[in-house]
Amino acid sequence: MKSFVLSFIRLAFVALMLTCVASIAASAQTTSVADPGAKLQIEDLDPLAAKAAQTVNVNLPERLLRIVPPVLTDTDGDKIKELILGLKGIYVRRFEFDAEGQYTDADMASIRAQLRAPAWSRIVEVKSRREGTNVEVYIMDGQTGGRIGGLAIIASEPKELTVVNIVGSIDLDKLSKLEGEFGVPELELERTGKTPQPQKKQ
Amino acid sequence: MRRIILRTFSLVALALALPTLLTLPVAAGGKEFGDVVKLIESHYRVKHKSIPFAARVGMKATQVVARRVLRYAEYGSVKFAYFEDQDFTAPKNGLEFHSAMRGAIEPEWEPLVQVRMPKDAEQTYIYTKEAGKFFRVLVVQISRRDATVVQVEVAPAKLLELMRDPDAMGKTLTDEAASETEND
Repeated sequence: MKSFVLSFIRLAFVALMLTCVASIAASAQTTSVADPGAKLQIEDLDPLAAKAAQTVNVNLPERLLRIVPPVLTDTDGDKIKELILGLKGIYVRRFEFDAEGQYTDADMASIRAQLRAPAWSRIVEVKSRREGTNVEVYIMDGQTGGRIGGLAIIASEPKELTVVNIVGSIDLDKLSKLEGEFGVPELELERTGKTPQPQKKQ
Repeated sequence: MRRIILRTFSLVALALALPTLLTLPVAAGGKEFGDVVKLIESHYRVKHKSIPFAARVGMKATQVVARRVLRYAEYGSVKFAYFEDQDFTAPKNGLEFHSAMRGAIEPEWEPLVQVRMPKDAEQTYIYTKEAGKFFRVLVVQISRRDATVVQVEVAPAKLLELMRDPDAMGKTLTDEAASETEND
């Protein structure tokens, strides 16, 4: 009887330990996938794919960006390493259409609704040198130190629409260095003003 | 009798632990390459060919795509499936297939890049997944008459190359395969 009780206790202990370990692992997993506030529901644009002649989606979550600093060498880094360190994600949606007018403001309504004040502010110091491209840049203030917590770019042309969402701390002066890298298209961005006074969107 | 009771308690213990264990991330060997190949077969009603057969009949495109992807593969196994001269034109611009594939392999596999050109019936999907200190990369390419599915294991430095220009990588895979096939 004694050995039976001991066996029971042993089994119950193993079951308890397994449950605890599994719970801790599951909870750690939940924490690691927590969404940063500056991440837009960029998937809301996906229905546009049905009308587009070409669609390009790029998703670089923090998990992938974390591999960059250790493997990027200084020679090819060109400040990219520094830029990437504070980032938690880069998400891009690009649509090309056969004709003008195939996307409307209504298609962008969900994204614009997410970019509302007070969380997001539209800034006017960053423009595109590319002819015919209308670029809107929005920033989300970071939680600490007045740093930018995230950034969104809407680049629209009559037959092309690009939305870039960069999550994490980024220096606006160095934003152009990300062009052509990590799925961020060449938008020929330039900073026209130095005073980063955000213009709150209504 | 005692054995029966012990067995019962063992089952109870397992039953207690199982629900939480099932919530853990699925380990390697879960939904992977084979599932995607089967999905293509069922969605488009086609049949794949393995590398040995493809090579025997001299499929240049197969070899080119494999070579291209193999440049990124340094470690581990390479899995490859090829679909030749079958109909991959799909209704709804391939959106249904994309949706089905997302349901089959996400979130275990994370989408890195997706390029779709409905007019040319071209679709490219690149997914990644951590595998210890390496990464698994799954590339699915579908064109009007052919398709390839490749899974390779790459070092972080190689994945970085892919990440720095993911859009071009998706397109290059298709373009290079097509042009080299024409030249040969």
